[in-house]
Amino acid sequence: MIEVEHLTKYYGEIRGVEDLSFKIGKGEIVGFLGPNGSGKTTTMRILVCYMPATRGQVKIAGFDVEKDSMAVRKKIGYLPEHPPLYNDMTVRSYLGFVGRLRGLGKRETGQGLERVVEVCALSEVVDRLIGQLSKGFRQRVGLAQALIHNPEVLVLDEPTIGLDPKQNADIRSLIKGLAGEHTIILSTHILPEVTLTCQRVIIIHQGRMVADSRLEDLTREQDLEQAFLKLIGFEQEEKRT
Amino acid sequence: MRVMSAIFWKEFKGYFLSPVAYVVLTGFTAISGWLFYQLLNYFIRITSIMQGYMVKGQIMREWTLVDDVMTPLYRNLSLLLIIMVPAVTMRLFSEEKKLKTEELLLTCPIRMSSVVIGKYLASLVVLFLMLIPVGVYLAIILIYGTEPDPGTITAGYLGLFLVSFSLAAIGIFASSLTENQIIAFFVCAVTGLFFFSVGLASRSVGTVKFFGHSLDFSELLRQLSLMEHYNHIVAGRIQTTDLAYFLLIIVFFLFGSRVSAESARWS
Repeated sequence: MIEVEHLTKYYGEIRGVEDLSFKIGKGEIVGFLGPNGSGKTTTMRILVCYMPATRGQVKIAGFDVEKDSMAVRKKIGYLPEHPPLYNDMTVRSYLGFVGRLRGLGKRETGQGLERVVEVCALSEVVDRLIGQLSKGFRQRVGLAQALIHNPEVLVLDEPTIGLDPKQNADIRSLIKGLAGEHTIILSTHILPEVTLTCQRVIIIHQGRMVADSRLEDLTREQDLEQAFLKLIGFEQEEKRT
Repeated sequence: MRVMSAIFWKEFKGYFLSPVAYVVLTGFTAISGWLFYQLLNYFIRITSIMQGYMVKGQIMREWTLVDDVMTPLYRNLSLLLIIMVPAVTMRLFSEEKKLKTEELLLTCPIRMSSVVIGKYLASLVVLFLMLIPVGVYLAIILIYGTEPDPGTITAGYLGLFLVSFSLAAIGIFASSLTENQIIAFFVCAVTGLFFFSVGLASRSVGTVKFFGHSLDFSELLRQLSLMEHYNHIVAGRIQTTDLAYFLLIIVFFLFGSRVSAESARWS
C-alpha cells in the first residue's frame, strides 16, 4: 500500500531524512518511532503530499506522490501534529467542511459525518464550538477529520500526545478498531503505546532508519524501551548510572 | 467548484461569526454617511449664498451636485477604503497559518487556486455589503437633485467597487505572506497607498534614456497610479485601459496569493 524507496529530504543544508526505504502492506498498523527531531514528521509530510522529497520515490496505493498527487491525496487521511481545527466552527460544520474539501458530495458528507461522530465518540459535542473543546476532544475531532472520507491510508502524527491516560486508551482502542480496512502509519515517541497498538515498528534516528521489524521480533529478548535505546545508540550502562 | 463554494461559505460565515464584518460595516456606514451629510449640508448652504465659484463678480463655474458633493465624496471614500479593505482581508490566510490549518488545505485533493478564489469572493461580498450605503446616497442625489448627471455619478460608484476589489486582491496576497494579521493589514495598507500615490511623482520625472531607448517615465508612473485611473472613472470618462488596469491588479495579486500560499511546501 505504501512503498517508500530511497527517500531523502534536505532542508537547505539540514538533513531531514536520508535514504529511507520501506513497504507497508494493506491493513497493517505500523508504528513510526524515533526521538524528537529524527525525521518522523518530515517523512509523514512527504507521504501526504504536503511537501516534495529531495530524492527518492514514494508510492501510495500505486500512485506516485509527486506525479499523481491528487489521486494520492484522495486516498489519504492525515492527522498532523497540530490538529488543523478552526476554533470558530462547530464540530458539525467543521467536519462537513472537510468532507467537501475531500471531494465528498452532500449525502456522502452527511453519512461520513454520522459515521465518524460515532466512531470517535463525538456525539455530545457535535454542536459545540471547537474552540471550547478540551484537548482530548480536539484530538478526536482531528482524527474524525482524517477519517471522514473513509481513506484507505491513515497517517497519524503523534495522535496521543498531550492526552490523559483515559483519553489515551480511548484513542488507542479507536485506532485498533480501524485496523484491517485501513492501512495505518502512526508516529510517536511514547513507547508503551506502540506495544499496545502496532504490529510492526520502524525506528528512525537522525534521519536514518535503524530498525524495521515485527514487534515480537524486536521485543523477544528485551523490552521495547531497551531495544529502542540500543538502536539509537544510547548505551545501557549509561542509562543505569 | 464544490471546493470553491465550501471555502466561500466557510469564510463568509466566518466574517459574521467574528466581530470583523460588524465593525467594518458599521464603521464604513457611519463615516461615509457623515461625510455625505457634511458635503451636502455645505452644498446647500453655499448655493443659497451664491450660484457658483466667483472671481470679480463673475461666475466662473456653477456649483453642481456632481462636482461638489459626489466627486469629493468618492475621492474621500477611496482613501477610507485603504483602512477598511485590509481589515476585511487580513485574516484570510494569516489565520490558516496561525492555526496550522494550511496543512489541511495543502493535503486535501484541491487546487490552491480554488481556495484563493473562494476566499477572495467571500471578501468581495462583505465589501459589496459595505458599499451598499453609498448607493443610498447616490439614490438620494438622483431622486432629489435638480439636474444630476446619472452617468457620471454612477461611474464613480462603480469606481469605488473597482478600487475596493483591487485592494482586496492586494490584501489577500498580504495575508498569505505572514501569520500575523497586523502585519498583513499594514502590508496591504502600505501597498495600497503606494498605488494611490505613485502617480504624484510623475510631475517631477521626465523621459529617461535607458540603453539607447527613451522611456517616458512620467507616463509610466501615471499609468501605474491607481489614483489616476480612479479619477478618470469618477470624472465619468471610463476607458478600457482603466478597467484593464484594475483587472490586471486583481489577477496579478490573486496569482501571487496562490503562489505564496503554496510556498509553505518549499521549506
